[in-house]
This record gives sequence, structure tokens and C-alpha cells, in this order.
Amino acid sequence: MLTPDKPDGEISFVAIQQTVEPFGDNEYQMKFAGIETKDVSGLTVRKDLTLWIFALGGFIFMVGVAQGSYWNHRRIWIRRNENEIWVAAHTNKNWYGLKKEISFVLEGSGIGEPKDQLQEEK
Amino acid sequence: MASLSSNLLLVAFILYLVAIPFFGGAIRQKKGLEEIKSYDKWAKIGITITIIGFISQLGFFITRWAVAGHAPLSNLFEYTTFFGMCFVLAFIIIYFIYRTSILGLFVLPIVLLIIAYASMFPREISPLIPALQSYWLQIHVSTVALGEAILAISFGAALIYLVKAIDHTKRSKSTFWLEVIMYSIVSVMGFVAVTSTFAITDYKATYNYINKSDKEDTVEYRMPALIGPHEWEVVDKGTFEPLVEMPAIINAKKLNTVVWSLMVGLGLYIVIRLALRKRIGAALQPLTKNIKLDLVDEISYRSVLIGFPVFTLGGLVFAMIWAQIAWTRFWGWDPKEVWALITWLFYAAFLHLRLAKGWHGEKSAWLAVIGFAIIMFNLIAVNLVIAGLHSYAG
Repeated sequence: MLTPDKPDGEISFVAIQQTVEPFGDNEYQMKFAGIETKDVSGLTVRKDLTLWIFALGGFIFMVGVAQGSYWNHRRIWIRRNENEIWVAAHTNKNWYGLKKEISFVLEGSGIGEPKDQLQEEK
Repeated sequence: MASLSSNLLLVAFILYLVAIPFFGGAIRQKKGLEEIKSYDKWAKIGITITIIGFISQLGFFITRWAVAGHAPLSNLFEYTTFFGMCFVLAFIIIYFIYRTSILGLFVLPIVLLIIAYASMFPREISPLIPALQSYWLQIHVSTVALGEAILAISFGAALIYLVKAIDHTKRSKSTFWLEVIMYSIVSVMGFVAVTSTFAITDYKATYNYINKSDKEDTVEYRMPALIGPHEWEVVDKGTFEPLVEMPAIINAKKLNTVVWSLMVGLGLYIVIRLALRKRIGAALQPLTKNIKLDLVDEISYRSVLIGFPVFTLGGLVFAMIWAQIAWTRFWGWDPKEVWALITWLFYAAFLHLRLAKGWHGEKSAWLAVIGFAIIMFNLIAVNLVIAGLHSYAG
């Protein structure tokens, strides 16, 4: 404990509730007066209340993408128009398989197989 | 048990190799009633051998799991061989949907390369780091590998499409880029060749250098250093002196390996070109004679369609759930996460362009090739070159 009067310093051990001055001849005294506490911790606690929205969104997306990817529909229309027979088909998956099926159905029936105009360009 | 495990992998490797000529035999047959039967026979033998190979590799996976006590999905070797296994599984599934032998002829060599590539990395069974100790490891990693493998099938089909559809008689952008693909594949062979050569001759060279944080460090090269690290200095006299020096931020050792692979790949490529006297693509074209373009296009599209939801589930949904549990954030812009997102967006774009803009055929085939390149980039470059939470031992 250095003061302007005593440049060499005086010895004093200050602790909570007790102050020890080993030589007992100190001119100045230092004491523990009290503390004010503030509760602080280094940990951060986070709580994300929107997680369920993400989970729901992910779930809906998965249902949608699975439906879009794995469910298929296909239909073939056959219509008589005077002396002609019109054949048309639509599918969302496996066009190649649909073409094979049409040719299987029409085989030997005398009806010409519909031509894929996209393939013919090449 | 551990040696049994690696023998099973070797057996699988050999079986895949043996299966290729059978698929080759299956497509060489000409049409005609008599030959259709033998056509079926060749393909049947091919697919049977492939399935036995797959079972053998599954045996490798299971025995290794038993030895290690955790799913063998924790380092680059294990993940990449697993990816190869899923690739074969995806091929088997697609084969039974469409019965196309030619797909085997293109896919199995790629699988062989993937397994050979994986074997160049440390193969020891190691304990699991704490961050990976969760059953989500199995769920997340295996689903991602499966999804990526199914997506990769579309690359195989796209390659067939391109080889067949491109006009090989004159030089064009398409033939150039097709040769770039061929060269990349050959470079992987180059990597395997150069790594195993220097591993057999047990080449070692140690250099002192100054690392990123300005500290002195040493590095051990396993192949002659063409590219030296930052301010290198040879340790033993008589060591080969690097030709070029790299700044500290670049991992010179890995760059050196890349340069070696590309050079040896180029050498191999030139030899192949000289032997064939035409572009590799042009040489492969006769193999694709009997396949219909719209069928390969369909296979390519179908495999993306099957693979995309699986990849979404594994690479995004499960990944986010695990990240939330392990790191309390479901998304952290880790390089691997970012590249998984890029892959996902790319394939989403692939599907949308196909449905909305009518990008069928050749355009779609090129997209499938780019998609595979992204997957490979994510597997190789992001693991080895860019540091992140997902870079495991390599």
C-alpha cells in the first residue's frame, strides 16, 4: 500500500471480513467494505422457437418431392374419328416405357404406332 | 477379421472388373432371334457377377464395422468405398428397371476407379472422434452416399448419351468437352498409378518450410516434389529439389500430388489417343450403337428423380437435424454444407429446366455431367483442400 507520505509502502493484507497488518504500525488502513454482485455467466443459452417451422417445412417439402418423383400417372386415349383411329398418350414419368406399352397394345391391330416427333428431328 | 475385411474388398474389386467384359459381350451381339438369347445370357452373367461383387463388398463393410465397433464411414477411404458400393447398388436397381447392359460398361469402370482412388488414402481402422459419435453418423452419411450414388448413375447414362449423340467426325465444342471428361477420368487413373508407384518404391523426402503462421515446420513428401512449400529447405542431402515454390497459404504437398496426377494422366491420355488414333469419345461410340437415345435420356432423368429426394433427405434434412443436435445450429455455412446446398440447387435446377424449359437430351446430359463434377468436387476438393468441420483425415 503506497501513499504519497510513505513512498516505501506499508504492509497490509486485505481479505473479506478480515484485514491483517503484520506490524501493527500502519498509519493508513485499508478495509474490505462490501460488494455489489452482478450475476454474469460466460454461457449463452439459445432457444430457437422457430425450429418446428423448419421441421414442418422440411417435412412438407419431402412429401412434395417424393410425390413428384415417385408417383406417376399415365393415360392413353383411343378415339374413333370417322375412318381413322386417333391414339394419344400422356405421362409424367418414363416416356420410354409408355412408348413401349403403346407399341405392345397396338401390335398386330393394324393401327400405326404414333411417331415421336421429337425423336424424328434428330 | 480385419484382413478378411480388406480381402473382401479386393474380391469385390476383381469381380467388378470381371463383370465389365460380360456387359461388353452383351452389347456386341447383333439383332436376331438366336442372338437375343445369348445377349440375355451375357448380360445375366455380368449382372450376377456384379451382384456377387456387391455382396462381397457388403461383407467388407459389415466385417469392418464389427472390427471397428462403429460404422465404417468416418474417413475418406471408408466413405469413398461406401460411395462406390452405393454406386453399384444404384446400378443394380436401375439395371433391373431398364435392363441396359451398356450402362454397366460405363458405370463399373467408374466404380473401379472410385474404389482404387479410395484405396490411396490411409486404410487403418481408427477410433471415432467424439464429434462423430452418434447414430446420426450412420443415418446421415449413408443416406447422403446413397443419394449421391444414384445421382451419379445419371452421369453414367449422360456419358453414354453424349458419346452416342455427339458428331465425332468433326472437331467441335462438344467433342472437346467430352474429351475433357475422358481426360479427367484418365487423370484419376494417373493419380492411382503415381501414388501406388511411389508407395511401392517407398519414396520419402522431407523439407523444412515456413508455414501459414510464419513458423518453421517440416513436411514429408511421398512423391518427388515438383512444387515446393513456402521457403523450402532440403533436410537430407541429395533430395530432389522442387522446381517451383508456393506461397504459404497453398498446401504445396497436395498441389504437388494434383500436378503429378494431371501430368501422368496427360501422358496416359496421349498414349491412349496414339493407340486409338482418334478421340476416346469417337472410339467408344461403336459400343453405343444398339442403345436408343431416348432410353438413356430416360435413365439419366429417372436416376436424378430417384436420387434427388434421397439426397435431400440425407444431405439436408438429416444433416440439419444432426447439426442441430451436435452443434446447436442447423446451418453454419461450413464449406461442405455450402457445397451440398449447391449440389442440391443444381439438381433442382436440372429438374426444373427439364420440366419447364424442355431441356431434354443433350442439354440435360451435359447438366448431369456438371452435377457429377460438383459431387466429385465436394467429395475430393472440399475434404482435402478446404478446411472445415467435414474434412476428415486424408
